[in-house]
Amino acid sequence: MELLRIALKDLTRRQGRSAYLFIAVLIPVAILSTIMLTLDNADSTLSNLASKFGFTLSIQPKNVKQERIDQVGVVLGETLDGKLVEAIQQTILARVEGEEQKLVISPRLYETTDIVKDGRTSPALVAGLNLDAERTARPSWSLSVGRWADPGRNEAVAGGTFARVNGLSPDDLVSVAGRSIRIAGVLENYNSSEDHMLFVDLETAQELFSLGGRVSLVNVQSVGLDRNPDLMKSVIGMLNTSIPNIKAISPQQFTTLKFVLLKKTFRFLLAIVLATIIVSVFSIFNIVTTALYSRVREIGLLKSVGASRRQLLLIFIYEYLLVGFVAGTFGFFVGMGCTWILDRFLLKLGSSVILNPAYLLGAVTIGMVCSLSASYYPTYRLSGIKITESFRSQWEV
Amino acid sequence: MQATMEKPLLELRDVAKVFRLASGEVTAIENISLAMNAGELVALVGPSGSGKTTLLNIIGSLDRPTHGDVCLQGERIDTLSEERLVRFRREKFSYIFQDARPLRMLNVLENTLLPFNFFKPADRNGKLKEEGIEIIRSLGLGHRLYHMPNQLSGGEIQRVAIARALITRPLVILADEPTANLDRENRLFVIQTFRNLTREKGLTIVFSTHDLEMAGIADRVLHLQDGTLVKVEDGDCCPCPSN
Repeated sequence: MELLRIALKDLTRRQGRSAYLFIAVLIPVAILSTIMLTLDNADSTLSNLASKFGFTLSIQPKNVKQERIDQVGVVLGETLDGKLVEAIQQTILARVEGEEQKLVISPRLYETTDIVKDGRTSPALVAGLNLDAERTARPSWSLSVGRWADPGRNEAVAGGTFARVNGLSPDDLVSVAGRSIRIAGVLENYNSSEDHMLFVDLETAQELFSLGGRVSLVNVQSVGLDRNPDLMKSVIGMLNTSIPNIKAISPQQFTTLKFVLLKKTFRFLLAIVLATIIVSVFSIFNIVTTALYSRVREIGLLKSVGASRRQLLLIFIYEYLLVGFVAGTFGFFVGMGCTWILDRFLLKLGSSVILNPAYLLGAVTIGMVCSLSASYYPTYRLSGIKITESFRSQWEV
Repeated sequence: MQATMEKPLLELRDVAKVFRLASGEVTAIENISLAMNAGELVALVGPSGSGKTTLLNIIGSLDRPTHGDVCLQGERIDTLSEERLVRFRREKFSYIFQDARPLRMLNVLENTLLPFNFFKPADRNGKLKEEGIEIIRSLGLGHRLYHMPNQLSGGEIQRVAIARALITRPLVILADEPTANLDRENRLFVIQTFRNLTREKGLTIVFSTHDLEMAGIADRVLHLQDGTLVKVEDGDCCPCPSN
C-alpha cells in the first residue's frame, strides 16, 4: 500500500511527464475505441433497420437527399402524384412472375404539424398510410396498447416514443391540423424513426394537409424481388428510367452496401490503429526512459533507505499501470465521443452510442498493456542501478 | 573514546578496490586495514580522488572490495548475496549523501519515515510516526514537520537526511561529505549532532570531508592519499571549534 502511495504522489508531482504518457496511451485507445464502437453501432443499427423496414423497395421523389440511413422511408417537403402507384405496380408485375397476389404497394404521405392535447401544443410528424397494406408487409408490427385505427373514422395510431412524450393513450383526443383525431392504439417501440410518428389513414392525411392525391413515397414489398437480387437491380433500373422524377432504392441493399463499405474502410483504419499502437509503445518507451534517467538519484536514494529492486520495480509498474488505466478509461470515453461525432456529422447512421462494458474493459486493458509493455524494460534496467552509480549520475534534471 | 580492547564493531582487513575501465585498471584504494568501535565518530579526510568515497561505500556494503574482508559484528558482509545485503543494510546501516535531496513529493515527516515504506521493524509498530516527530524536533525542525523540501534551506535539508538516517536505528551511519554545501554554522551543527549521537546513542558514524576543522571534532581522523591510509590521528589533532 505504501508503494502505491509513493507511486501516486510521484505521478501527481510529475504532472508534465505524466501528461505526455497519458496522451501517448490515450490516442491509440481512443482511435481503437472509435473504430470498434462505430463498427459495432453500424452493424446493429443497419441490421435493425434492414430487418425492420420490411419493404423491398422505396420509391421517392428523385431530388430527395437521403442523408441518414434511419431516415430511409421518410420523405418531407417533396411529393409524388399518387397515380404513379399504378405505373409502379405494372412495371413490377411485368418483370416478376406470379407476384399478383403477393405484391404489396403502400404509399405514404408525411407532413410535419402541431398537435394539441389538453391545450398543450407539440410538434408531430404525421404519416398517412394504408394500415392494411403496412400490416401485411410488416407482420412484426404490433400494438403495445389499444387497437388498430379504422380508416375514415378520424383515428390514429401513435408511435411508442411519440405517445410517451406526449402522454397519449388509447381513446385520447388530439387536434391535428384543426381536426379532432382519436388515438386508437400505441405501437410497440422499434428503435426506429417510426417510434416518433403519428399514423393516420392516407386519405385522412391528404385531407388534413390539403394534399389530395399526393404521396411522399411508395413502399413496395415483393417476395420475388427479395429472392432475386439480380432481378431487383434490373427492376430498380427500369423503374428509374421508365417513370420520370422518381428514385427507386432498395433499403436492404443500401444498408448492406453501406455496411460492407464501412467495414472495409474500418479494416483499413484498424491496420493504421495497430501501427499507431506500435508507434505509441515506442513513444511511451522513450518518455519512460527519459523520465527514469532523470530519476536516477531518486532511485539511488530509495535504494539507500532500503528499497529492494523488486519494490522499486513495483513503484514504477504501479505508476505506469495507473497511467494506463486512467488513459485507457479516458481514451474509451473520448472514443465514444468521437463515435458520436463521426456518426452525427459524417456517417449519419443514426446510431445511438451505448456504453459497452466489455469494450470499456478492453480499452482499459489495452491502455494498461501498452503502458506496461513499453515501460517494463527501462524500468527493469534502471531499477538495477547501483546506489553508488546513481549518485555519480549526471542525469539529474 | 571507546576502550580499544573491546571487539571492534567494524573491521576491514587488507581491503583493496580496483575499477576495471576501458582505459585500464584504476586502483581506488589498497591495503587498508582498520577497525571501528561502537560509539566512535570517524572522519575520512584526503584530497579529491584519494579514495574516501570508495572506502565509505565498501564500509557501508554499497560496493564490494576487489580484495580483502569487511566484517560487521564479526560477520563478513562483502560476500553476502545482493538480496541479503539489502536486508542487512536496512538493519545495520544508514547513509547520508552530499547531494541526496529528499523526495520532492513528500514532506519532512514523510521523508523521515520513507524507509518504512519498504520495511517495517516488527518491534516498532505504531510508534514510528511519534518517533519520527521526536527525531525531527531534536534536530530543530519541529516547525517544519509538514513542509515540503522546496521550502527548506540547504542546512535543513541535510537535517532531514540525518533524521531519515536515524529513524531506522542503525548501528553505523556513513556520511559522504555531509557538510560540503553548507555554511559554517550548519556544518558545525551537523558534525556536533554526529558527535552527540555517537556519545549518547552509541552509534558509529563515519564521514568524509575536506574540512579539517570539522574532521577535528571526530574521535579519529583517517588520512587517505592515493588510495592508501597514510595517517591516523586522534580527533583532538585539530582545535575543537567553539559553537
